Amino acid sequence: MPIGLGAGGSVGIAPETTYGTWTNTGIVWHPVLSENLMYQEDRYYSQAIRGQPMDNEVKQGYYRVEGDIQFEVDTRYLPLWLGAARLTRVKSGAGPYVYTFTPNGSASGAASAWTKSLSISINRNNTTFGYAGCVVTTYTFEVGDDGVLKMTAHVIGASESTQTAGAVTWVAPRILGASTSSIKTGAGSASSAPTLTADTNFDTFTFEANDNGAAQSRIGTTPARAAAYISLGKGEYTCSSTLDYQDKTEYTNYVGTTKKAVQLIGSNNATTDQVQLTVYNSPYDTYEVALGSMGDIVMANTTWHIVASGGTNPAFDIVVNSDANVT
Amino acid sequence: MSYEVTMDHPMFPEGEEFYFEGGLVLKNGETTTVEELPEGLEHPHLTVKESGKKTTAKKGGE
Repeated sequence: MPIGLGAGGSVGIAPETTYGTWTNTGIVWHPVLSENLMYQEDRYYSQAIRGQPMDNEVKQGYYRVEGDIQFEVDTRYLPLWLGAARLTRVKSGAGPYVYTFTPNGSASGAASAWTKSLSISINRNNTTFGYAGCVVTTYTFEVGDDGVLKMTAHVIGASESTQTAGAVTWVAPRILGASTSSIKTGAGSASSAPTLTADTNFDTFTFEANDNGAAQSRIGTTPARAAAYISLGKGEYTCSSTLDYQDKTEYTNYVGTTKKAVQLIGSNNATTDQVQLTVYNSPYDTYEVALGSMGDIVMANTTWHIVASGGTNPAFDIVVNSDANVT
Repeated sequence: MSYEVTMDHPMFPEGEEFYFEGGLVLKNGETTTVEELPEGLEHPHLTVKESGKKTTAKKGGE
């Protein structure tokens, strides 16, 4: 077989009907920037004492699949990814559709913690790796120096197998670029919609949700040695940003643990191609202002520690407007 | 021999163009007639019918 190039690879994702059963029904081939999803095993090396100083035997151990997949946010595929994270999904509309995702406190399971797990098929140098029972346990939304809204999904899955995923197909790409992103901020709000105004001081912005996922191994599962399920633990949700430091207002908010609302929007079209992430009522965790050098702009490096809103608002929500009909 | 191929992906709107490796372009929900089938055209949401026959190349995943 010839030497392979990354550009020749492809990643397909499909929602699973039954958790952990690989499928290509509903598969969409998803452009990615990088991936390192792979088989990870707790291999057993015997340290039985047999008169020699090295491990003396090996046995296959429990395994899982785990890794990161980074991609430009595309609102047609985003509901699939968020549907595999610990988020409760409400879908409305008859096309285009509105998908609203809010965090929940479930430990595991379809229709409880997540909507549908994913089967992920990855073609690497013309061979297909099939991963089943995949759940997004950590995810980030990031607008970096290039102004493009990107997402990184940390995926943990139950099993790997060799599969035939079928012909690779692509649809025209959509990117939420520098002209489409905006950030709004305002006073935090526990129950009502926060009053938000556009804030153009942000250089970069990152939202991260870490649900502390872990593969759980159980004796006698099928397929053999594969994870029985993926558990989710404490939710750790943060925002971080770099922005122009102009006055002490936000620094004072940081010191006083005054809660803020912040909203990130990426929009090509408000009804068919938009994502809106809102944090409702959370304090700064850090607010660093320093004179780095005589040539540096005075910037503030900030992080928000996202907490429960204290009222009827969720801690955060993600609203996706899309013309894709994700089941 | 010609074939009628139909891409019907439930996630995408009608008319969305799907680009297959090898250059085939199919619009979602529309039937296209092709003279030759590209190799490896199996797809769970693609139906292939020989002209006048009901043979399909639909391939389920589970």
